[in-house]
Amino acid sequence: MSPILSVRGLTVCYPNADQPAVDGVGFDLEPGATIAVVGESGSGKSTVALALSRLLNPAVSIRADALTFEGRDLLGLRREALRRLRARRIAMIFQSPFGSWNPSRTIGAQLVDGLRAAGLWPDRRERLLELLKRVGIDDPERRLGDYPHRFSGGMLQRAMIAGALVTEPSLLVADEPTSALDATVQAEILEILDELRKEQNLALMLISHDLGVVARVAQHTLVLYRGQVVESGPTAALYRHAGHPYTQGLLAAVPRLEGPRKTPLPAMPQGTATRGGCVFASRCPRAEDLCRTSAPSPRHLNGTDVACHFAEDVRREPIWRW
Amino acid sequence: MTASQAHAGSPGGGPPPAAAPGAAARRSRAPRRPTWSQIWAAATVLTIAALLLAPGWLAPSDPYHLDVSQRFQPPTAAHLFGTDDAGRDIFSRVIHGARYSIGTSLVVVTAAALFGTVYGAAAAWFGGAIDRVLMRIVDVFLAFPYLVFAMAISASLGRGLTSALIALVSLWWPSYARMVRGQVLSLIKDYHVRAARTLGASGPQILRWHVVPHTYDQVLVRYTLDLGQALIALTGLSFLGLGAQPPTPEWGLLIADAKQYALTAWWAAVLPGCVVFLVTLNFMSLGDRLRRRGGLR
Amino acid sequence: MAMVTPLLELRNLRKTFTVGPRAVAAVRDVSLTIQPGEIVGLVGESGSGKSTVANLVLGLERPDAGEILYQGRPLAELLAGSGRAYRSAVQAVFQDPVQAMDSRKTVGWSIAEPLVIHRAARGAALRSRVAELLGAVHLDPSLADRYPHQISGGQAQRANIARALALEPSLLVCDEAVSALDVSVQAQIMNLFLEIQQRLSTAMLFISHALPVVRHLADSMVVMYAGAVVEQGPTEAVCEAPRHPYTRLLIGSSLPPDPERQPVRPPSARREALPTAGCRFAPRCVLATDRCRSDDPVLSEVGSAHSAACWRTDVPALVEPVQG
Repeated sequence: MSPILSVRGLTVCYPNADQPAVDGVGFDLEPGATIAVVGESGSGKSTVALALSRLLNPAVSIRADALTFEGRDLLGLRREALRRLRARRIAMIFQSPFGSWNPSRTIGAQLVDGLRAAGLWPDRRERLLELLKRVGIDDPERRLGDYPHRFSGGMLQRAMIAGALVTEPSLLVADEPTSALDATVQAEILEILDELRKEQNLALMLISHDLGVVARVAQHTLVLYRGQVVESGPTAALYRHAGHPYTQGLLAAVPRLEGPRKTPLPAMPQGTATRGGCVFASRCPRAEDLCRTSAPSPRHLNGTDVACHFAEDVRREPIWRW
Repeated sequence: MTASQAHAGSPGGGPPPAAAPGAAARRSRAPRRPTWSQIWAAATVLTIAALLLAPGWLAPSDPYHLDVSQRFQPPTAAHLFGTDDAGRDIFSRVIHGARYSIGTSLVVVTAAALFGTVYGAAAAWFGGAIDRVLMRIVDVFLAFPYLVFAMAISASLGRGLTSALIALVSLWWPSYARMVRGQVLSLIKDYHVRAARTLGASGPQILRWHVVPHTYDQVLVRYTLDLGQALIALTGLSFLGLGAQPPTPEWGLLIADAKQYALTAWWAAVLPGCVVFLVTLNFMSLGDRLRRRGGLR
Repeated sequence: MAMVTPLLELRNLRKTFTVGPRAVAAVRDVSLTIQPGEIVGLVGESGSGKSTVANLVLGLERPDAGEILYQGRPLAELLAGSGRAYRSAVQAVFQDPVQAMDSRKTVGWSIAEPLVIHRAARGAALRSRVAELLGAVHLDPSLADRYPHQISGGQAQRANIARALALEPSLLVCDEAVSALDVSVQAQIMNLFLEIQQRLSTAMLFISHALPVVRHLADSMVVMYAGAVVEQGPTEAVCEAPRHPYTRLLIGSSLPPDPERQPVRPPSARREALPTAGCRFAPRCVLATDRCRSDDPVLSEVGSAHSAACWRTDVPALVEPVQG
């Protein structure tokens, strides 16, 4: 199967920044598959999402060796073609449920706007109502007349998902879709999203800082650190055999519902940005001179692709245990 | 525990500071070349300071020196702005008048800003009935037409710069009170104020440390804009005879005196008028630049 | 064994807010006890009333009914007058570390502030105490000259903790104190809290929506739902043998960072309007009976020091929290 989205060497530079926010990111996404981009604040994970749909300010430079969606070069698209693509083929959901809706217009009017932009109003009216029920909005005909402030955060995100999926896009980019929600609501919304994804053969790109959410949803995971993919691979392999010190550090730092408590969590030290060498070198206890002078390129290593000079040693002898 | 131990590699430790914020801090501290508008602002402030503090040192001659032989001289190198009906050097009079015109405007706006800030902060801080009463008083003051008010003050206290000053301060402080009250109402809900309360800070401490300093930027912007307005209002009152009295070289009065012979000696009214115009424009544009920058920082 | 006076005791606290025409009970009959040196975790979702409890303990709000006792003395009495003694004994750490500090003051100024307010130090002694406090939270003393926006979130939260520790409090109220931080920073701050408990025997009321965080730090925990305590007890007991269906739902909704150990599909979290009578959780509860919909359950003993407010505690967990 040919990938629906193919990215090679994606590099994004904000004006006046001394280092790129995204630096040489590459991956393939098959139709109906899920991929997660996981990282901490400042890792560039949201910039990846914005760059894919070209929602960044024109002053931001986006370069890529390849950026193709359904066989078309995204960087070469003109504005109108791009707009049509965003209206029908690529859907996006953002973190803030309140920030994503216009407070002065009803939920229904805003959902209809989306369908109009896609040229699917009123054909998809019934489908929209059906989807709203599916995501857990009872009596949608009545609720559509409500303004956003009458909805809870969870309800707004549910409506957002229905609105995003009603055009039957082939790719959904979800940037921290459940981070602002309570745990019980988050679990349910992720479940619904996953069901709809399977039904519509939708490819999902999930941006998240939450290793639990990623573990639940994604088949494939990229770990981003300072704009670079330090490790990637099938989620199960990545969580079990993390070969990059940073991945290990992240996994080890998460408090869990099982295992020891009231003991210090293995915590990575903070570090400074370095140039030339490995981006993680200043925080890595294993770093040697080589790490500070030469940047490791990703190597396939029995399960995952790891950008670390000492991946074999690190995997055998984890730096932080999880 | 001493500072040196802070670096010891305990699990929670690690070498501070993180790169990006540190670098940003260093960048912002690096000395930068002043911009033209900064140079202009500095020049304005210095010129006004000199006019107020040492007019005698800047003025070529005595502003009160009468010399009938020199009356109605048009502008020349000796008399830059010409002379008036009593042969006094108008340029020197304008320089000495700065103390009355700009100086009084400064006093008016400073007093209004100080009083209004304290008043507005107090209304917001105490809230409830106190706030309602204090703000009704503000509404009453804002409802007065200023000219009528100035005439009433002059009538009761006698004509003069002091009466004009009192009238203008009385009418100017309410706008500061309103603005500061609004800001304080939102500031006291801020997290840092909540945090200060849990530390046990008293009301006056919170206001002095955490609330009022945050209103300075906006007060300063309005202060600068208002300096121009106050200058116009004050020269206007003097022009109408409700402000400074002869022989004070106050600018509004200079223009009022010169209007009798404006057709024969145009310079006596026009040139001081231009000065009022330029100074006002300068204050306004400085205020506007400040406003667009969101204050001094 | 002699009874130790609890450090802090909340007795039947009640707080109601009026939102427009409606009265919303943010806190309903909440009682809890914090022993000296103990970390008590308070878990709940948004709207559970956990932050109102924090505000009541911090004296930022007054309860409508019930009382708070600090070392056996009522809070109302302690806060009368300046309330300085209580204010220095109970300190707070908030969620947003940068906003909790005054943006116009340096970090060092903010840390010195409690010492100045309580006249604990001045001049050179003040400066050296600030440096000492920065060291205690593993920050470089040079950070004292920076402004809050010039340091990282983790550094800012350390600085806030240093400020909270300045007066050597006996209780820290931590309201979502690690929720806004990145995973790696969160782990460091959690370690710092444990270190503080061990080294300084500081008690903490640790409020969070994140169950795993609370489980890691707390000696005992309290679960709140819709303003009331639904379950409380020693942390192990509550997390390993939860008796209230809401606690079970919370555990079942927590997603572990392990693709192979994901919970089975959790029951619906759809929120209906909160009922005004009976168990507030009944509309979401798979075990609810007619009695649950009419009578409000009270906290009752379900184990050693472990209690739950549920009429159906006899029913074993229907949902296995973790898939094999």
